[in-house]
Amino acid sequence: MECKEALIRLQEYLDGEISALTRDEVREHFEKCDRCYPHLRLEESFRDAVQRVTKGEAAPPGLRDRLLAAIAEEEEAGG
Amino acid sequence: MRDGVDFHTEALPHLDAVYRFALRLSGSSDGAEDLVQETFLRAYRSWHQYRPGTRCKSWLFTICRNVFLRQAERGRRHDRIVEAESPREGPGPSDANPLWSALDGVDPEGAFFGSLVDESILQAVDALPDEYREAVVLSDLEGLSYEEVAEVLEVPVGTVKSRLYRGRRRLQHALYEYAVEMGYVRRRASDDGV
Repeated sequence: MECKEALIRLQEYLDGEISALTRDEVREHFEKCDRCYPHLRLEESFRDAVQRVTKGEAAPPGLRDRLLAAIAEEEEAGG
Repeated sequence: MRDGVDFHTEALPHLDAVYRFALRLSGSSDGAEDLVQETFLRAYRSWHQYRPGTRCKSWLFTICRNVFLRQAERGRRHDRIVEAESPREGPGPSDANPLWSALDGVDPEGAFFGSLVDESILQAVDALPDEYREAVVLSDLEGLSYEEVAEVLEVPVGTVKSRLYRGRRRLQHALYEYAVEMGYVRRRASDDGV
């Protein structure tokens, strides 16, 4: 696989939306190519950062209680 | 319990995920709480339509987005952006990340994004146009496949790929600009096209 094709397929590769055969070819290219490898690292670090910042976000405890109360009301109303 | 699948067991574990999605859609915790409450009540009322075996989280995201879009102003803004969008734009033959040349020599390990503070990243995500933000949140934050994102957004898979590509590029560009502004990196003379 050449650099051009590897870079085109980088998004699908990182998204896991690629066939096993192509995935292996893309991985092999990035492992061997010094010019392309930094692009892989940059994209990976971007995704890691975006996932990191929202990982701890959770619904406020009060919301769950209000929701359960509202559903209980619906259940009673609906029999 | 309906159709052998319990709403509380199947749907409620996704409360945090739906809240995160609602937060990114609405841009405020108050707005997100209202959106989540309405989403789960509608899901409860429609539980007989839920097909066991389908991904409940995607189903809840679809409801959440529909509730959000029913707000008239948001809906109009949404339509305008969709009309201006090219569904085919995606990675091209010369698609090296332009940020790399901008960071060349400064970030040999690709750790640029890892060094940014969380708040700056969240602000940049929230500043994305709706279409891009939805796709990025569903894919990158919630781990949905292209097909699942396409179902939630009611667009073809090709459009999902395009929105992810453009959304991520915009996000990266915004974060780069933020880093330059804060003095974390220096803008190179050749960065005009970044």
